Amino acid sequence: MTKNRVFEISAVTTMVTALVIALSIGKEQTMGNLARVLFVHVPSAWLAYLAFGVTLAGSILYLAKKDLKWDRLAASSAEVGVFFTALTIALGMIWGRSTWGVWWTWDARLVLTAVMLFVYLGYLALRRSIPDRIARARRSAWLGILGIVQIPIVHFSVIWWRTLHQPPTILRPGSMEMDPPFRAALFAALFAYTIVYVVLMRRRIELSQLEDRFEEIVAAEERAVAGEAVTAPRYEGSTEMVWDDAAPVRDRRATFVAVAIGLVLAAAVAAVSSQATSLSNWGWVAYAYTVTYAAMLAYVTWLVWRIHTTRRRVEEVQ
Amino acid sequence: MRRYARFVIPALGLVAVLLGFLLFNLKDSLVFFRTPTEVVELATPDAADRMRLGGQVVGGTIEDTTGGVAFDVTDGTTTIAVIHSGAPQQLFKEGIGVVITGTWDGTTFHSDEMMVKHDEQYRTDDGQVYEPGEYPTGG
Repeated sequence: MTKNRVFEISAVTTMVTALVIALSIGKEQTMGNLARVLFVHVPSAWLAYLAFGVTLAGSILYLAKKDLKWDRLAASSAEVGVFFTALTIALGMIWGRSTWGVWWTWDARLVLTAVMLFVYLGYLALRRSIPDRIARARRSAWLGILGIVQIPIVHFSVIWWRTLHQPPTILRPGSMEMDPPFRAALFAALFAYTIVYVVLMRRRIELSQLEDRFEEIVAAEERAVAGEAVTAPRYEGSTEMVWDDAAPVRDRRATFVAVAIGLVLAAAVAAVSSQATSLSNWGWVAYAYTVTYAAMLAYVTWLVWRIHTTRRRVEEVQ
Repeated sequence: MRRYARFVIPALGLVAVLLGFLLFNLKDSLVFFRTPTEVVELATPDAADRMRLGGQVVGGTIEDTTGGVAFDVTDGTTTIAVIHSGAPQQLFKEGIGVVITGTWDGTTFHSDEMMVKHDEQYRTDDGQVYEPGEYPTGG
């Protein structure tokens, strides 16, 4: 059994266990069954924090050691973090509509989380805009370090400012105001999601390695064609652009499929949301959990697709 | 500049969020809602000035009215009478936090939007009794 398989089986097992606990414990006094959304919303937010924390670590290690493997770690983690930030906001909107009564409000926690999402989307855009592999790693490392200041601001926003959003359940001043069954469900989910993060990261790093190998091969061919007189395009200060040749690695079809899946999901979400007033509490819970698993499945599919197509391209040029 | 096209989505998103924040939150003040004490201290009550009021629903004060509900909201120091038009939210009950939007005429707060504010306590049905925590005043 490969290491990947071990992690994948553990992820599925712990996720199923967490789901069973989350759905089988009793109701919460005030929110009733709606409290169960906590066990998908909070773990998503935890993974967003964890992922951006790993991006910080990867960025610092890259600048210190100048080894591209740390850049690949930072970049991979940023993409996973963006996914979980978006999922956290989506689940928060579902929970907000069912408990507060509104999908969105201009509360500090909500606004700052949205800002964090767009800043890290900017990080991913920055990476795609720099053709020089070394400059890309160095410049995005600085953004990966700067971006981290948002994590404490987002987390403590609910304590520093007056918000509609409740204060944090964990990592808070004072003890946890949560009865044992909810704690069990929350920690089971946090554990399961952390394994899911490891699984996603192993795959995403594999994709980064394949992308780098493709760019390397294309760049080496360019050098061979241009002759020894031309400096290596992979290094800073070079006037050669390897970007346009390396661009096909970011498969257009994969992007198209991802956008299509996203649109279908968004349409389904919009259809259910328009019927929101007639949803029962269990209906809301089912809605939130369905969005969670559908989104995760879509992301995994997109990831595997990209690995597959990139590997084929590497084999083609080799 | 095709290379920079991918910045469009994050940039537009950031601008939209900041604009929304400026227009819908910062317009009047830096706080998301005012406490009853702050509302009472307003020098000149202006019936045209819409604001958010946050506090706890006082036990035993909820009454059905035609087209809405009337109740008192407190921050532990000051209590304000509220007339809310429209159906209250599902979780609305005695002792829960609410953030309502409307106008203050000097004696009564007239609201037409209600959001329920749940705190970070999670209690089982047969476990500890839910004790309303601190009044939602924030930092």
